[in-house]
Amino acid sequence: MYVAVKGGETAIANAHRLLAHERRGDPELPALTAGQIDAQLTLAVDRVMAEGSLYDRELAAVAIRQARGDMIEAIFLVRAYRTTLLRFGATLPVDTARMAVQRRISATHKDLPGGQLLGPTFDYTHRLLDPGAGDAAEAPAEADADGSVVGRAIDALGGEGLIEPDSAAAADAPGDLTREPLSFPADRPLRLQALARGDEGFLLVLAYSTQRGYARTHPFAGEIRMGDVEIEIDMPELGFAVSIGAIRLTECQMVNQFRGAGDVPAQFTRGYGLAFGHSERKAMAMALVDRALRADEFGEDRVAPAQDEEFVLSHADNVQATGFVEHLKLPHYVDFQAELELVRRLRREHAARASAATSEAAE
Amino acid sequence: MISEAGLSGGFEVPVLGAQAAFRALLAALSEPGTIVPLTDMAEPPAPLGAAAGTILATLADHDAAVFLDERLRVKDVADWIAFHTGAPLTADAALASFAVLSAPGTVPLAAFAEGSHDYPDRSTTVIVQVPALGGETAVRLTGPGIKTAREIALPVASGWLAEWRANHARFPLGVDVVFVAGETLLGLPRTTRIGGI
Amino acid sequence: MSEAGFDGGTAAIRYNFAYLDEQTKRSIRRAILKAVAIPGYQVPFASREMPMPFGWGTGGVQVTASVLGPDDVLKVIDQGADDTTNAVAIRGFFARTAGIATTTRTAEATIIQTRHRIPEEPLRAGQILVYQVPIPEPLRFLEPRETETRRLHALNEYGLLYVKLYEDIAKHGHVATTYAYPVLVAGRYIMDPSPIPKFDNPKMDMSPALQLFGAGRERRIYAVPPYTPVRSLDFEDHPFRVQEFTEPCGLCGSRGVYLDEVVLDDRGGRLFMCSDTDHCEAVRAGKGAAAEASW
Repeated sequence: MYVAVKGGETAIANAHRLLAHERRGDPELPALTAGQIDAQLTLAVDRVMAEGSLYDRELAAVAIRQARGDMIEAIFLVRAYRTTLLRFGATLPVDTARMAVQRRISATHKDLPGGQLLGPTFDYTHRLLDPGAGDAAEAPAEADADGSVVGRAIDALGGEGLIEPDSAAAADAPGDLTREPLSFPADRPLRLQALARGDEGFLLVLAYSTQRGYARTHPFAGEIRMGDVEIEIDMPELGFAVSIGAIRLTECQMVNQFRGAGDVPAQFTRGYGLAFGHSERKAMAMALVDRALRADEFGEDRVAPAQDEEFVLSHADNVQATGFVEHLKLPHYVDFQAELELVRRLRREHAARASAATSEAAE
Repeated sequence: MISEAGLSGGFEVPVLGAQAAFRALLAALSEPGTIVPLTDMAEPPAPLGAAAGTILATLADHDAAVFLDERLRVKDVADWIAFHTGAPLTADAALASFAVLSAPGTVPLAAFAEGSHDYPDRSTTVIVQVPALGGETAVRLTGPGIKTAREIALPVASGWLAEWRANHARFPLGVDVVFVAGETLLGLPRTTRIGGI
Repeated sequence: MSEAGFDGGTAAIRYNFAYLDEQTKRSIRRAILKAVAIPGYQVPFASREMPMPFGWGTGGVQVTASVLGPDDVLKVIDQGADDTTNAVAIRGFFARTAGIATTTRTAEATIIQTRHRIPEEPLRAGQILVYQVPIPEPLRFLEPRETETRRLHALNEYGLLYVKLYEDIAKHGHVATTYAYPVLVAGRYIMDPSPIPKFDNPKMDMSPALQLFGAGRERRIYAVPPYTPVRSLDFEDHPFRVQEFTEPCGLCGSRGVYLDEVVLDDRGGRLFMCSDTDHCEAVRAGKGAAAEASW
């Protein structure tokens, strides 16, 4: 008798065995260690931490290895682990003005206090494939890696009142979209959370669309900085905050088109991006999209996709997106059967009508 | 300083105790008017009853504020709730996720959060302590969860029934009520219509 | 940057009973109780990332994990079958993280998690049916914005949906929705019953079992309490009708059940067989027993 193809536990177990085999690859080659991934695929680790919303280089590296380099799969692994972790408290807001910078550039000024610091960048490299890249490298020039603290370029504009001030911290603690379902309209802290863990590719493309005229905001890269900031936590027992370590962040402050009319003096506006690790493309895209989403604040018409809060926030998460797109490979044959039955019936009825019409015409 | 009474009296095995109590509540609100036994009890300090304490230990936490009526607003009870649930206490009935009343009608149902038309779920669940489930007023319940009608006696006076009818009439807004006595509970979701016999 | 090395932490990963932490369970349990009290209304909840992809049953799994206790007996079906890969994976997940008993028998289960079907065997009081829901919003395909659909539910304004169904009739002569067919629950909220074939819709009406719906990615939980009227939308001149199969199940001979069509060869040969594998096996076992008894 015919028996329908059955998945079954054996099939699943076999598939997973094959996966493990493929993951290991050629056994003649040494197995990749998570430590190597952390040290040499640094930016992959940074992206997994940023979109996984968990600052842990070790876990991110483990996830990348387990995911065979599939970044969204690795992000998913980190998220699924993160959600099981107990929360001990919240850190104080980080102060990026006290960042020990590895890189800091401003496109709005030729030079500025602290100088332009290129840091470890792909910028100005010639994109010529180099099989030797990644082998032995010279030690960096000392001055380029000292991580000195320099103030934020954009603060100079703030001093003159030329740019809107940082929005004041709300009296209440910001919402937490990992703990409460998002509802619309969402405030800026929630939007920024969603963007910070949003898919880099999605944000990149939205940001690009704003530059091409779909909600143009006339951006200048006021400053991009990358480096280490201390994270502090309040200790009620001690009565003061203590540092519990440092994390690497990339921050982007966009200076955008000015507002002001009549009684209000003209003033530049801001878009803000912040991401774990060295995630420059992500931070810049985030800043552009943040600014576009502030359309209502500045009385701009919401006409473009990047300004559409519900659209952007509902679709920015790649773990959600990949799950739903990929769920189409699950069996759907029950529903398909229901559709088949209907289409067959409609075709039968159509054929009956057609033949009735033909015989009528013949008479 | 948290009192001794505030520290003791949680579930014996919190994960399983909370699960069992939740299932009892789920049964009570799914089948309004049935008397549902609780198995694993928390032991809160008086005048908070064991069943009410069990519900709070199961569902209240820092995201779900608790309101207590005047008789229940004593230090031991407040300490116990703080220690075992972490839930903030609120004196404003309209801000409570859960409210515990020492008897029916100590605070009118209309004082509690009824939700909004967009979010009718943002409402208070009112736990009412009574000496026993049964008693004074014979009523006939109909609505979701009840096959045809369920005839029971409710431990409330007829004035409370008027309050309930007003609550039911606000559907989908309104509060849900759980009567508790000893180690039993009885649920009245806002969908339940109460008629006389 | 990684002086700490890679020896710590990761080996000692431990999970709670039924995977979810207690704080998450509490928030889901509160949502479930609200859902029961407001039948058909979609309660927002803080859905968590689960160790399986969104869209693969995370909502159902979170509901089941919050309801499940050590004495429960769990059945998991996908497309009506206990042995489809996703059903196997989810059943294995709970057997592993909660150590509970599992079954393929509908009658033995206290909790049944399902994707796309309602079992053929009538459910009984005390059972809980947990549906996996991809898109909980019945108005979503008419109006993609949550801000709009929430308002339409609040105003009890469902004209749009009736218009869509009526347009189907005008165009095709029939309502062209064959699954995820919208229903009116307890006379107030219109609800998406999840993508079950409309064949199963009548089973929801006045069912003695509690029906819970979990949409993980969309962060919504909703419910139909036992003995609650559930009406499939229709028109007086176009009453709701379910699919009818002309043939019986090719394996057990049942009629009046939902059938899968299995293509046997490339010459149009096909077999219709029960989508509910437990039902099919039970009928065949019963016939076998009857045949044996008559010897």
